Amino acid sequence: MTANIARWPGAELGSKDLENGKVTTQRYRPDAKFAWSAGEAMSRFLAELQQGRLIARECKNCGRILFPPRMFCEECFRPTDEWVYVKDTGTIETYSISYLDTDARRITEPILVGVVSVDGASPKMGIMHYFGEMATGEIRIGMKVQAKWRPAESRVGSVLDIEYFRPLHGVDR
Amino acid sequence: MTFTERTTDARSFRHWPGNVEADYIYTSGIAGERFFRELRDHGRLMGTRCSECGTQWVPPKLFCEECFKEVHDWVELPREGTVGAACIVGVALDGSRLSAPEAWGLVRFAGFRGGFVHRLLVTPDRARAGLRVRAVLKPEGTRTGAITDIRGFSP
Amino acid sequence: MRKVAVVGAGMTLFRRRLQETGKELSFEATRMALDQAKMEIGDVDAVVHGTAPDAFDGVHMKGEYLLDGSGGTRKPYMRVFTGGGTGVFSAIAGYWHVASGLADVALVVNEEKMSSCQPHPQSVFAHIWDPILDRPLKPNLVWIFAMEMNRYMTVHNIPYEDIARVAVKNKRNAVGHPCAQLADPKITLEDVMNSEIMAWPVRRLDISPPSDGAAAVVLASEEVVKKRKLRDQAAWIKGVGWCIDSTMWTDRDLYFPEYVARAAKMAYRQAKIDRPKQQIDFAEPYDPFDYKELHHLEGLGLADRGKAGLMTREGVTERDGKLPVCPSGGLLGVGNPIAATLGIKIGELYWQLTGQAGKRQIPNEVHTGVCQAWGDLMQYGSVVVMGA
Ligand SMILES: [Zn+2]
Ligand SMILES: [Zn+2]
Repeated sequence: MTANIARWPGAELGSKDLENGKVTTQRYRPDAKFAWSAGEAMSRFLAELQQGRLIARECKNCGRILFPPRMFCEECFRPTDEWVYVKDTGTIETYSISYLDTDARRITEPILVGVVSVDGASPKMGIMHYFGEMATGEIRIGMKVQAKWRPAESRVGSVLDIEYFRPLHGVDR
Repeated sequence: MTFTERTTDARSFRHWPGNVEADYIYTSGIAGERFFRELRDHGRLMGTRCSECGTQWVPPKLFCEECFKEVHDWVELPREGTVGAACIVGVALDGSRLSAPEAWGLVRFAGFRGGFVHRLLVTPDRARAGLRVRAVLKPEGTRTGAITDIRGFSP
Repeated sequence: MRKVAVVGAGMTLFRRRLQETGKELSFEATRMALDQAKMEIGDVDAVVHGTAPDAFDGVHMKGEYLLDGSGGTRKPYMRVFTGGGTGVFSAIAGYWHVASGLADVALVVNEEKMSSCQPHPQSVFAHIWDPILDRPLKPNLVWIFAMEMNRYMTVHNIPYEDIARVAVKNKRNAVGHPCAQLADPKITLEDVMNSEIMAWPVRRLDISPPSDGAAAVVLASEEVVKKRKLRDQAAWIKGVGWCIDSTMWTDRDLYFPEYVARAAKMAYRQAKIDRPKQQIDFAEPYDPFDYKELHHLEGLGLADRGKAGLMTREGVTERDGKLPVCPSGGLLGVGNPIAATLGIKIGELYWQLTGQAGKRQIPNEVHTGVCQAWGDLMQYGSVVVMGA
């Protein structure tokens, strides 16, 4: 009977109580290093990024061009069949203008980030990436964009081989 | 049916390195707070006693795991405990070899459920179950309210 | 399947920082639920523990760690984890135990102690992203919600103020909740709309806070309810559903929560609900962000697509409206200790349906309620329908 419960348990602490020793505490910083295997599909994807190309996999059963590529189709639950290059152009499906960095610290110069569905893949299939060469007032859902590649010699086989996606002028839908 | 193609050249496999960074501060809790304050400020090791079933818990619990009732009574541990099990550790946390092996054990106290896993302050050949031990504490004033305020247990 | 009732519920305060350990929080909530159900731990046949990623508390194998405080020692015990969906899903897992006849009484205990994580729980959220595709971009968790919210607003042309109204309503509703962390009787639409932009379109007051807390419910079979004369304090689980959509979130259109719609369909079929708008009297959808309440109302079939904001503007979802939504105050008002939101989803349905909600009691008589939780990479829905 919530109305009749006299005491709801819980001893609240203030934001400084942990640092100023109001209560006893134990600190722990785990040291966990990993090397994530890229596996079959992602290894090829990263190798192609280094060459300045985007690659997908086709499932001949449902006819979808899966991007990012994977070795199995999760709808048909069978192996995918062929490698297919897709374009480095696409459409902004959604975006955010972030005033938070990865650790939730405030930043003054916002990060433009969102999802780009790439041309040549099945509808809505894309990746998350940054946007550049556009003002915060310019960016919008439906905008056509193209990858801005890093120079070939500085590419390492990473999603960061694309610096960002920038407006593809003159072909707006 | 499996993948229709597989890379056989291991050199073309890629990986992405990274750290899983995290940083924690754990509170000792309600029972733990009293336990660590007694240890830090008075050099005493305390447990709790369930008034319902009489079970005595160390480290102390706020609640009795047996009857699932809140526990209010505090009792001091006997000065001496008994090693319930011991082991000799030759490898550090990161896998490297220790310069000298260390003895570690589970120390129990008569009449109490639980105990402490802690360093045994004896040469490895003397570390065995049944050994009677006492807690050796850090000097007053250097204790912080942590399990490491106990340096270890010695005969 | 046997009929299953909730016969007791308990929860701790929800706060940014609590001194208790996770075990102690679990104990406090569980003890309260047992007391409410007039039971002792010996009456419990099985225990289900729900808790979100180990990375928040900073303890691996949290299910085992929290066992003693959850009353599971030497009993059939399991931990379930479906991301943010755990808050409702753990009760579904508890339901299986009793509905199947394997247990007559099952205890469901959920806990979260997010304050252990420094400086902010958001830093370990980074580890949920794909290490190769997403993490090199140094994403912040708020980004994905901002992207989902933007897509939802743009596709339906929903004005931001209709979304911000949800935060106002829930923070005001929370004033009646004894455990609330962010209740605010005076909050205005302007306060929310002018609050700091975190990741546009998401502003600070659109987001629920991280919290410490625990909650528990006792589930019992119909025979137990009869034998122990608990009928007056029993609310029945009428239907359960759960569903997850693809992890490849950049391949999905985020404007509609298909996973919630499918989970709801499953629960409604069991509860014999074919016209949810007419048959459901109130709802506790998951509201870690204000737009999510609207998104989920549409997924639950309680609003037409793109129309939940309009319902909010017209006052339909106020506590005294035609369809009260988050009468508890929700995550936005009471707090968001991920899995422990059990106490304001299943718990609130229980207290409302048995007339025990005190100041929060919905003025109109309610017979059927639905609650829902959501989690993982915007992909998981768990739904429970309960009746008086
Ligand atoms: Zn397919
Ligand atoms: Zn006892």
